[in-house]
Amino acid sequence: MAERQPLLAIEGLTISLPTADGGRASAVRGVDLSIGEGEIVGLAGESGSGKTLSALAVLGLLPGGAKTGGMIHFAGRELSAADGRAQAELRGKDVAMVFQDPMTALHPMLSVGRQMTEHLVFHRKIGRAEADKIAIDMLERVRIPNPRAAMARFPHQFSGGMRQRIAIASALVTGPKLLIADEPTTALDVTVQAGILRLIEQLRRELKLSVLLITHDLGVMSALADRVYVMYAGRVVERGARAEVLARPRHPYTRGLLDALPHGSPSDHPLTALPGSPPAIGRFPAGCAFHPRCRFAEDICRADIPELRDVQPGRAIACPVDPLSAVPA
Amino acid sequence: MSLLSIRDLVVSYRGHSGGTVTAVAGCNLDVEAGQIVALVGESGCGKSSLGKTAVGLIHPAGGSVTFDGERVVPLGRKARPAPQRRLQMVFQDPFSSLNPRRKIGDLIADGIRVSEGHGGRRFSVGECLERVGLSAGIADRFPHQFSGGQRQRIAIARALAADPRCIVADEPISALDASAQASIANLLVELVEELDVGLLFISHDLSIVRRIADVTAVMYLGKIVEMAPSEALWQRPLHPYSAGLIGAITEPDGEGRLPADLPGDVPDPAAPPSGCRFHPRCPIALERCSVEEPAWRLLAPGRTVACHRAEAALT
Repeated sequence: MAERQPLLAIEGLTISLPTADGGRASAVRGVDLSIGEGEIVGLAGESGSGKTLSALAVLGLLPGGAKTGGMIHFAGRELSAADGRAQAELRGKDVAMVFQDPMTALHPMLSVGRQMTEHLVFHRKIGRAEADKIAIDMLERVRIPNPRAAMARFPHQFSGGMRQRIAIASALVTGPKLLIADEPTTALDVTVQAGILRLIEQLRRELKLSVLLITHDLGVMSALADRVYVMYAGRVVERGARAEVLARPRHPYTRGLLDALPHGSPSDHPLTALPGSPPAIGRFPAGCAFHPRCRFAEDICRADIPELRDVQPGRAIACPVDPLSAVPA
Repeated sequence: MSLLSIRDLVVSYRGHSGGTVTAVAGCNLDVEAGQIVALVGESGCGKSSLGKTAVGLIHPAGGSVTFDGERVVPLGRKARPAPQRRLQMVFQDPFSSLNPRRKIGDLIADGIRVSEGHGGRRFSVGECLERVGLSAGIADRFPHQFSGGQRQRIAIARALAADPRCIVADEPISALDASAQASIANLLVELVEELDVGLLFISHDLSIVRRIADVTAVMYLGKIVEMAPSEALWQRPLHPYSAGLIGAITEPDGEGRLPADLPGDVPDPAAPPSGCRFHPRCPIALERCSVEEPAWRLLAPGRTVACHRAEAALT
């Protein structure tokens, strides 16, 4: 994976946000992330971990007042995280995003056809008839029944799952190389979620699409992602192949998250809660931000912010203690 | 008779265009003391309507709810009969279920006041807080000073303050972070054992239900389609809808398995399908299923199901 030029490479990304008292708070603190062509990369973490902010930074969609640092390379081109114009271009063509709630992502008063083609006409400078054809093809690809008729209907006339399919189709009409999906199934029932996950996998295969999948749900991660990044308090704490990270977590935080989930048979894994709750932006503990919740914490964890270091080929953790290295799965 | 007993319950609402929408279309359910009964289903299946009716927050259109031998009187202008105050509810969102302008101690004291006259024990605020793993010292603080998981503990403490014999909890963990979900689920299991209360646990998440509930009831479009001991249901679902729900669950095991798709959408409850309500989405439906509504049948000890084809799943 590292040999080839990645489609997207983020280096040393930092994001700070203004606080209510006029100061600034670090929300993302040095994130490196890469996505290969046709690869699905999962970004996991609890609320406040900085996973959504990192993705928004790629698109230049951060809230006003946010300050960014670091570099973003897309398809060999280099753009600084603060270069708004280059990002607007990226947004229209090469990178598209799908959000958690398709009801708010879609405009309620525009027909499906209108909102699927507006940006297409704008960015590609093509005629309406041609744009309609592209949109209908895409609706068919995401399995909306009777796509031609669907173009004239409005978002509220569709179920939640169908709406998310329309939002995905709408994101893909400009032919992007990278799809950023932020909690794309969190608002949906499990049976509907299953359909959307299968759809994303199908689109990756058919369109050679790269996907950045942002989710707190490690089950969703396990179904789709090739590689996984786990974030905590604005930093990546573990990175590696899906099977490695989820079946043999090596960072105590990843392990804690997995132990809190019901999986496997009840006798193997009693539900074990992770003590405390994730820190809010601006209140990250010193040293390793996870140390107050970590049962393996030592003095060094309170003193220094641990670097993300390689422990195996393609596998890195940010933990100086590394207490799980010898633990069998 | 069971502690909480729901018989032929029907709940309906007036729809947009004047018609009626039947959210609960004839359900039976029992909860015993010391037992956790889970009610699972997708959004819109009627599980919350059933839960709210069980505690008397909604007037049923038909059928009955009996708590401790007495019929549950829907909430009205008059105070609830004292014995029925021992039937309590915990809601999904601890951000909206706790009044943000009142201190934790005052919120809990409301629950204690409810216990007056019903013959149960009378607790102190400190006792209630300590029982859910919080310190008695937080009584002077306000809800916004706590995380979601801690707030849900406070909401549970308030329900416990009334010395309940039965609690209905509607999605009590689904608004919480994963780590808080596990701790609240574990807390509920401990409380049920320790206090011998009955718990009706309403949830959309079968994987957590499997961990905590003794019995699971699966609801689809206003009807309970299967009821079984939780682990048995998980190992061998008899209704194709239960099987579909279980197959759609993702496991965080790193194996990269895509969940199975259950095609179609939940139909409009204002116009439920004929025959078996699940037949348009059912992978094994016969012609009979679109005409004849399946009866509620006991198929094996503890296992009831409403499906014409359930025998096939049993063998």
